[in-house]
Amino acid sequence: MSTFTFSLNGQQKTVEAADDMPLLWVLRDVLGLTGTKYGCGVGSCHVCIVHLNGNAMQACQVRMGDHLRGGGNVTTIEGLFDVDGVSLHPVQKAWIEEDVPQCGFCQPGQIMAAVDVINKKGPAVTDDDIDGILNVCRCGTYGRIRKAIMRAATGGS
Amino acid sequence: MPAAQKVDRRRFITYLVAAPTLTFVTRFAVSPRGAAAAASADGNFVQMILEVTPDNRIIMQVEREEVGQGIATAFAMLVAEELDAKLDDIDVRLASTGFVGGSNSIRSSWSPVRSTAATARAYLVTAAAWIWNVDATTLTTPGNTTVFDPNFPGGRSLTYGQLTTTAATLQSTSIPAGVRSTPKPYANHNVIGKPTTQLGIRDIVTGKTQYTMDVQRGALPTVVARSPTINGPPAVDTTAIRMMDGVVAVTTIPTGVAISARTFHHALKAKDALERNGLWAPGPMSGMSDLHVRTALASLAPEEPPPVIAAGQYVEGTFQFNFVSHSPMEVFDAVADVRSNAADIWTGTQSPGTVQSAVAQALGFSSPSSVVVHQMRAGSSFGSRSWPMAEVEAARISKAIGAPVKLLWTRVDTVKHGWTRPAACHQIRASLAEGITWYHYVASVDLNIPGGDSPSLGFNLPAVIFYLNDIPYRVGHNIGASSSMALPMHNGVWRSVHSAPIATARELIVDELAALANEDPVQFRRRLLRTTARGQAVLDIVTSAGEWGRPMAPGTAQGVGYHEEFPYDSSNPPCCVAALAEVDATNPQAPRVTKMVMAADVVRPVNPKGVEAQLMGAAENGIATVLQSGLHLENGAFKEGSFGDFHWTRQSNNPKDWQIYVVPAQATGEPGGVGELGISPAAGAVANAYARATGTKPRNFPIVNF
Repeated sequence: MSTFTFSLNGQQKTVEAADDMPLLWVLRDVLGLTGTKYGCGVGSCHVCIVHLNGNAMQACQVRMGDHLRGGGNVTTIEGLFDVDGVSLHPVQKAWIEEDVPQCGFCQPGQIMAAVDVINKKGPAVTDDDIDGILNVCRCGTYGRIRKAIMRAATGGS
Repeated sequence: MPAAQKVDRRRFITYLVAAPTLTFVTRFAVSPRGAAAAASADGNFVQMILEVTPDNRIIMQVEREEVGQGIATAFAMLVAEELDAKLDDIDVRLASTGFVGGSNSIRSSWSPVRSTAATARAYLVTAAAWIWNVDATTLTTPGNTTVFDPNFPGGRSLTYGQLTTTAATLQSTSIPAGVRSTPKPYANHNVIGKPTTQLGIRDIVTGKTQYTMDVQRGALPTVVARSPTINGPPAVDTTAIRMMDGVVAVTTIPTGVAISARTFHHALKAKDALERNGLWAPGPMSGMSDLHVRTALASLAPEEPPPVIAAGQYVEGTFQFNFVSHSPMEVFDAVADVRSNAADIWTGTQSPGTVQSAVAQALGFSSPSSVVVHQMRAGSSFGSRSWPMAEVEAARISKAIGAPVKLLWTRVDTVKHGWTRPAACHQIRASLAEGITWYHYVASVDLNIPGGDSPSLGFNLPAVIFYLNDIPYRVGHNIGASSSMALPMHNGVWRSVHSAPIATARELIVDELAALANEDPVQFRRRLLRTTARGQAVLDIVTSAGEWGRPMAPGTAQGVGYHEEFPYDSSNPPCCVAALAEVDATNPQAPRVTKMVMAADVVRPVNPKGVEAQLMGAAENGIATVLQSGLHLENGAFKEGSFGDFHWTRQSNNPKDWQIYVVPAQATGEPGGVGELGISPAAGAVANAYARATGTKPRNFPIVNF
């Protein structure tokens, strides 16, 4: 067991956890933050995407000892806001405008992955960039996801 | 005691409940087909409660499940329409018993839900008339949960919340003749038919929506170490894992060894250790592989099709469809809190009544009513939440250790031991003789319907033949037949059951028959469509919007597919749906659908946005199962264990260009089901496009990774 102190959604958190414990279970079982979902645990479905130090990562693949020993910045779906810190993030707004979700289960991960792409590419996001998002949606909402990302990236309708 | 109020010819009955607030209970019939009907342990009725609260909310509680099909939003729209309320005024709670399946949720609820809401409106209007002592027929409901008196100087109004206690004291005989208590004429619809964003979407996009795995309630994180083979018995020696860090309890249940631990991290490490190092005896499927199944299925069909076929030139094909995992995005899970004589189960299930009886039986309870099911939103289903598995396991474990548990199947569990679409072999021979002669034989692995105390092996339901008679084209002779074989595994109803494989094979043969007739595949279908005008209309939309026949580069091609679905009771016209796909098969082993155009006439769309979503999702299911997603059985186990090898589609496998057209409501007729509708035409269009792009005749599915 080690002690980890890191920033979670802008707040300092200290947890006791085994070095090999994935961030996913620290979030869900230790900190009780359930917006980040379990999908496969082996890094293949991307449902558990969070941002670690500004990069999209699968929380099931982020072992505490490897990534958070010296601290770090973690953002989950619960900590995603617009620049004002209160309103919905533009990607969340676009998700509502395009009525994207069906069962909704993969959508927090889809949104976190989309925000990462937009953070890096801005309005220049291309169809190929969107193709590079590997998150599985079993309901098949891919068409609306693509439209929502384009809408959010361009700030338009 | 509630008094029976009215019985409709469509078999529903509405009671006014003796309660302080206006509350109706409506029970209505559902008639899910085949498997669903057989498995529905709690009869053929579902129950709805509609209540108007003093704080001016409308609460609708109905025995249905939200798995992403948009049913809560559609129900709220029906109630808002008939009660002249806003969607925001309505809380839809999906609960307790009943069965969801076979695209029947809206179809079966259409009349009872609207009638109950219309009746409630009549009571509220009458209550206002009593309070004001005016003629009820002069009052209006302007659409904001109020009753309005336009004849009072300056107008006056009372909210439904202010009226509900008075309304609750009325009798059906109190309603004056001139006050409408039946659903509105279709022409007056303001809500139904309007594209509407789903309820609860803000909670979904902010991560607040709770699924079963998010329930806390002090439940111990629990997983089950399982045999490497399907239905294999549990490992016997569990000593080593009992000492592992964080492990709280180890319980042997019929399906494996349950490990309850401080966190899922600890539980999963122990599961992994036992699965790697434990001694696991082979399961009943041991020795069976894909080849055995395919050979056995192919041998079920008669060697020679009926002789009438030989009368003209013909085309034919033998088609193999692999097992396909349901693998819903939320793995199978359940929270169970079992005491000595009662149990609470949190789960997202299509069949809460079956959960109650299965859990009661597993626990030795005499009555299913000792089991309370807390219905959760489910992270998709596709039929996989029709019958309980995780719920029964969780209940057994909770009983054994005397504490609430949260059971999570891993993705590997869900793929290797969860529900699958049965493998099937189809044979079609079709000739142009005598106005087309059509012969379609299906040999399928049975569905395994769980029964009684066994979590997996109840009885087997043979392949359902009636889909075969449902060919949407006018043919001179239509001969359908089927047979099936039982295997001790977990074959379940997979979105559309046999309909999509049947249509995939059928639409390929229709294209081949058109080629034999030297006709364009679209013109050939147009000429033969059973539902002529409506069918041609959707086909014309997709061929026009999709520019059918436009020049395509080598290795790429267009394809079309068409399908119809009749309601179970045949009292309504069928839904008609067409798809046009463009496929890039420049690399035949890595094909991609680049464009998908769909058009559907569902008679009366309740929420066109919801219908569009269902068509998009169904089309994606068609793309996945035709091109790339299937399981491989090897020595009694599926080789796949996650989305890393069960190749469900991702964004890069899907079209960049989606166009979906929902035809406006017809003048008459009720809404058709849309949950399963879109898979068949999309699957057919993709298969035909692939065939044209590659110059091949696809016969084995999925085409890649067969």
